[in-house]
Amino acid sequence: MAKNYTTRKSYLIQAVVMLLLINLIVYVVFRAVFVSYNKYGPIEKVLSIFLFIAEGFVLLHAFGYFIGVYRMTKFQKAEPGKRQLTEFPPVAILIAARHEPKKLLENTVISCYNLSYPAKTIYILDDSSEQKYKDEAEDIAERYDCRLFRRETRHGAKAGVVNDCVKKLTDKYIVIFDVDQSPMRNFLNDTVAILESNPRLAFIQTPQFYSNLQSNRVALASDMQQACFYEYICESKSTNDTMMSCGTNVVIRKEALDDVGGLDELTVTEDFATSLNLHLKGWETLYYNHVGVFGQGPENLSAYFNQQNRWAMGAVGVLKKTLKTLLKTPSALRPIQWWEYIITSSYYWVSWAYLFLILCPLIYIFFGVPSFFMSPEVYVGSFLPYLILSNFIFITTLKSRNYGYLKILQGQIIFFLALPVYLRGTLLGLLGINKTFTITAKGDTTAVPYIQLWPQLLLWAINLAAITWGVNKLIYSHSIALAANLVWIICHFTLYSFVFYFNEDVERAAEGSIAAFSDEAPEELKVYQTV
Amino acid sequence: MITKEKLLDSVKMASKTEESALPLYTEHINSVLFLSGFGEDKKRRIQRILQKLNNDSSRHAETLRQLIRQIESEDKDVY
Repeated sequence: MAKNYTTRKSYLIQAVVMLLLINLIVYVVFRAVFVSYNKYGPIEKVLSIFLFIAEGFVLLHAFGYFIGVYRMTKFQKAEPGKRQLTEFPPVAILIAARHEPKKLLENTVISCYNLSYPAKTIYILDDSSEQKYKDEAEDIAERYDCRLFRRETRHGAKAGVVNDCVKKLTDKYIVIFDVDQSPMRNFLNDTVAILESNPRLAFIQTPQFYSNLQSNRVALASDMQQACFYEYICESKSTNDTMMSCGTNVVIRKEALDDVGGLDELTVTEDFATSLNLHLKGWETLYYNHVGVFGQGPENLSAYFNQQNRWAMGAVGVLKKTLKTLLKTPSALRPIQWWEYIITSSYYWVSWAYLFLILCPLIYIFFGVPSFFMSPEVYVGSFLPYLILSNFIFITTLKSRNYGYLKILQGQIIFFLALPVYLRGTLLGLLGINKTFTITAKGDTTAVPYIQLWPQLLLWAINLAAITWGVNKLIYSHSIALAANLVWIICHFTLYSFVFYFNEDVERAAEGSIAAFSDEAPEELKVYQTV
Repeated sequence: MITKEKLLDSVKMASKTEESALPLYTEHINSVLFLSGFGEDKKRRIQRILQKLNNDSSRHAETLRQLIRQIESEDKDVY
């Protein structure tokens, strides 16, 4: 149970969040009034309704985020109970691999090998079909005393191979690591101690943290994009007992996994879907916000977009399942749990909302068809405060956790670049087109051919054309509405210009390389040298 | 008591993980430093300590390799 914990700074943040939420509601009400009572023709009316719905959807998600921030600033993050381990229950460490670079797999195995937890068994779940990768997996398994698991018939991708392996295991806990995730030595000591203290806990999820973010812009930006999720969003979900598994860096109680029939193989985000199954069966889940595992982020836009596409598709599948279950058995979860699942699984639909937000100013500039009806004074008086307050809270709360503004901004920008990917992913998910699980490519740092980035470049080009056309019109008309739309178009154009910034060829930094300094022992170590 | 073969296996594994594991952890810690919010002076101090540990690890790995060569050259079968 979280303890009520307030400092002067917390009071300020809470007060600003409350002000922001009130402002948000006021703005939405004003917008609704202006949309309802405008005297424009049917085309403008329809456009304005769509734009209002799009805005409303984005603001709904913003509302969800800021409620989480409010909770986490009001209540002290309570450290979970840990049992002092006198006995060490057996843990099976599963590393699912299919055609992975040998060095990457070996690094993960080395890190698992070096875990200080005594009762562990490492399994390489090798689903490779090419002999070269099979041989490499065998070599690594032999050298590091791991078990190699293979299956005759491949089904269900990662979820399938995990399920097939888990059926044969008797360990109390299962740890799942992606092939590019390396745990630090104490990872299992803390997480198992927490699981041992609560028999109803199905799993503990820990954050993802990328180690390659110094040398790679895409990895840094995607890490910053995830920072919002792994800080306030996950912590808030954990207090509501709605934390979802993220598929890696997670320790699962085997009994819980068996209770729900294993990982859900019908979706590409088996982690998310399985979490819902666990919560429906009354299991508890926890987010432990201590980085105990380091990984490799996507290193080019292709890898990043592949990853985001998969997440978007999977989330839609979970949304469908959530809504079906809600209609059939609304008492299966608490209202707050339903809210969390719906808000999270519907997140990637914001791409459609943003598409409208991008298109409507363009339609106005090119065709003179308005869609946003509000007097400038009311707009400035209601939206501008929201813009200022939301950015203030967003930046301040993340800065308090050592995230600099410029780094966070990169996370926001790469999200915008991924909008076309989310559009595609959500559509595929809605149509039930089950694209085969595509592993996020590791180690590829080359720039993507620009032809593959045509959606982003198309948006960039259209916005550029709109700026040219709009500035021309503005010179003659001096219209405030025109100027306001142009401001948004310039923002969108600027955002999409970053596709050139992120699409770079990067030479992969040598592993373990750090700045070379003198071999002379620093003061801090001299006392140890004399012992 | 331990056979020569088992001792060699253990020492080889220790050498391998000494060489591989510490650079891995160093890279991870460096990325933490990058986001730590520490001032440049403090970052440099920490990086110097990490470099020192990295160098020590290389020396340990070399010591273990010498031990391996010594064990392999000896006639003893049991230690």
